[in-house]
Amino acid sequence: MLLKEEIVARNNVTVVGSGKKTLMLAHGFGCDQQVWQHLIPHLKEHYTLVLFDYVGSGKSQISAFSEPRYRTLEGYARDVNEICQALDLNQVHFVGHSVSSTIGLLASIEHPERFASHLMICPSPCFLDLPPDYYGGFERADLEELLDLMDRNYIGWADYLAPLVMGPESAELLIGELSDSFCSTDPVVAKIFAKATFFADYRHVLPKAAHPAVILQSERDTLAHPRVGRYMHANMPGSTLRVLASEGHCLHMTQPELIAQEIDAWLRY
Amino acid sequence: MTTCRQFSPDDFPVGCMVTDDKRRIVYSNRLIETYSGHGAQALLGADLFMLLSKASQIMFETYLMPILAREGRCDEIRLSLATSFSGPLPIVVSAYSDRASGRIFWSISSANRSDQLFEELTEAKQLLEQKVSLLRTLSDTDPLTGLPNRAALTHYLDQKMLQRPHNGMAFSLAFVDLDDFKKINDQHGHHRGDRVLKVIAKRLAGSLGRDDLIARFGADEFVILLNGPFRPGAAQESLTRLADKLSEPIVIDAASLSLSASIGVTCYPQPRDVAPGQLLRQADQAMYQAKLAGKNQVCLFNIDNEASQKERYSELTTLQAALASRQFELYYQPKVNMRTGEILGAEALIRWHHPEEGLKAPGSFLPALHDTATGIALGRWVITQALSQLQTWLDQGIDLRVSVNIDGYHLQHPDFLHELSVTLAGFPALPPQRFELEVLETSTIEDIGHVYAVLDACRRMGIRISLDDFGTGYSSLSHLRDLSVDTLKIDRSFVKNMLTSRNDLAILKGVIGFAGAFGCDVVAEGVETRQHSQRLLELGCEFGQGYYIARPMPADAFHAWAAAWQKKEFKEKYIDLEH
Repeated sequence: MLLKEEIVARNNVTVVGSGKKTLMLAHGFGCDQQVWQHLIPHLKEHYTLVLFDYVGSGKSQISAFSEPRYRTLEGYARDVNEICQALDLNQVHFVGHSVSSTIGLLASIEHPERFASHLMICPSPCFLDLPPDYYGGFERADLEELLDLMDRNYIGWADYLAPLVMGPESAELLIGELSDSFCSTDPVVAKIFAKATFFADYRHVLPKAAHPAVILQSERDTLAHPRVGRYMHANMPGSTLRVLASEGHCLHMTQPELIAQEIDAWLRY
Repeated sequence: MTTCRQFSPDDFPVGCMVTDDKRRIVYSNRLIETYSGHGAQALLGADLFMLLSKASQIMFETYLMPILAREGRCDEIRLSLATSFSGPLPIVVSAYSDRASGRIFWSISSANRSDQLFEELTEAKQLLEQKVSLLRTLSDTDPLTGLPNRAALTHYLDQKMLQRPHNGMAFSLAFVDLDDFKKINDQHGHHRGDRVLKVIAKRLAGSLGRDDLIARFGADEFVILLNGPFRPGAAQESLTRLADKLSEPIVIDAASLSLSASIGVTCYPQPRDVAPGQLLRQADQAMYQAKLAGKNQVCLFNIDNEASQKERYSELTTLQAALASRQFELYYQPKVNMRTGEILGAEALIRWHHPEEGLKAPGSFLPALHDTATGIALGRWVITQALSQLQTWLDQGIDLRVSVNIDGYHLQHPDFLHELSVTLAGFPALPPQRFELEVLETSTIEDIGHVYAVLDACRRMGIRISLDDFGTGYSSLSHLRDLSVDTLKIDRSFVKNMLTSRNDLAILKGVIGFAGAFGCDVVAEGVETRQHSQRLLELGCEFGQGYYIARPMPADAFHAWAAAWQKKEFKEKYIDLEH
């Protein structure tokens, strides 16, 4: 059992704002808690905001990363529950972007007593097309290409070769020196997160949802198509679907005011 | 200077594009048309995603967009452009976001060349991975036996011990050293020695469980890590079975070779924290203990007694080498009749010509030899050497007795009598009664009955027996009763103190009395002064040995001393004494 301080350091947990209601803001694949920076000014006056980075992302302690744990979304859900326990959070309104909506759902099924509701921004329980019942938007080949593009984009040449030269024992050292730049990601870790995100099918957990949830669906979103939103709404008891007049998958970044309004509206339910 | 108006974006060898806040294409130059295969009309107002592969769309949303939102620009992102005429085209894009208008300005160029570099790098990386993996294998493996080597073992142990013992992790660590393996190399050559090592490695590996680890630690040293909690006894039992297995004969080129192994074992976890290196040292020390105890056995490391067995073993090895390179010499100390001046004999005393430290007295090295094979070998050498010297003196017409000290453990050795008779047979002209065994440490002899039998047998062979240090052991008297001896030697401590201590004087008188009663000679050791001599003579003890008479001397000095003694020294030292 890790101490509070250890969890806080491990997941780079920060708490901002004040308010009776606690919002836990969970970033999606590829980034870290900085994706919330445009939204925070709209929320911090009214809510207590708990921000964090999943292990393997942002400024988390990558030394805590282990492939067996984080190759499925359940591993990330454990991060969420461990943070809730460490900070003794209750009645948490979980704001999850994209895959984090599924992660939050998994966490709340495991520990329902900690959660109050879900706010799902552009969620998808499965990104794969699984005809004839479900179309997540992507063929397996598309996702294989994604991994290849990640290889070509995420990797500094030196980082790519250094572990070979320095040996596996130096991995932590290297990771410790990863650049601070925004969205810098360890290539190995990022690919494991990518696989956990894009190749999995978590549709079966939707009916187990035990808390009210609002699905904030973009009108035009390739990653989470409106039909995916409709599928979730149909299969998740107690859910509300809000299709927003907006484009893209990162509404909290591109339209923070809109998302803040939706959050306020939801929490006054 | 020319103004910009003279040039159009179409003139540049880079794709230029502008999208609005709804991701719609509001401008594209000609190269975009060329790249994509779409005409300007089709592009205008179209969704940017029309030009991006599905994977690139995810990259846009999860990677490029967040960077643009935060930093306003991003450089050289590798994406795939969807074309109307063939498969996706690898492109590199840079983008600038104008926050005021929500527009994004794109530059797009072909990534063919950088892709080629990437492919080459990937290939190079794969090659490098193969090489590194080969190197790791080589650096972790002993080439002869194929077992993990010392470095691999050390690394494994370090990693293993990083796990907490409260995880229930427990193991035994055994150090296996082949006994006298050098002989195999010397007698049969290194080539066969190597083949023996391979067989041994195979036997070791074959006897272990799947989770156990065996490594070649050094030349003929192996380390075994047995996983699982053990009663210490259980680990020892299973290793004893292993030792038995190792001692089965090995047939190499039709020659049957016998080998055995000494094994030291220690267990983990221990009551106190212990480092990996320390654990290895413990097993190593236990192995030396097994060597000292006679080899071909398993010893368990005793945590309570971290005595430096290793130091003792190293001392022993040095002494073995000293014996082999003839660094030992016998000195002789005369025994005389202090009344008549007659030279009765000489006691052979061992000296070590240490190459660096000079001449060393037996007190400095005999303790290390106690109860060891080397100790017995040295004892044997002393007997042979003394007999040979005695023969020389007798041949020269010097008629005396020579005595040697014999340790209890040597006397108890099962081959002692046989070896002694063989040695004696090498000097057929030598009268055995000129040779005397001075028996030491009689009070510490365990199997006194056996020793009596041995001494009786010696006497029957004609050899004289004297009890050395008589009076110091509590059982001396009973010895005297059960054992017929020729001489009692009064310990030097009584002689030294007899002038001042009434008790010591009483004991000394008693010994002289016993000797008379049992009909044996009595020799006083430690005669260092004229007063000692005088008092002993007064008490009726005529035979003496000590510095006042003569110090121990090399054999070739003895002749000159004897001549001088008889000519004048005895007279000078003893003539005025009242006899």
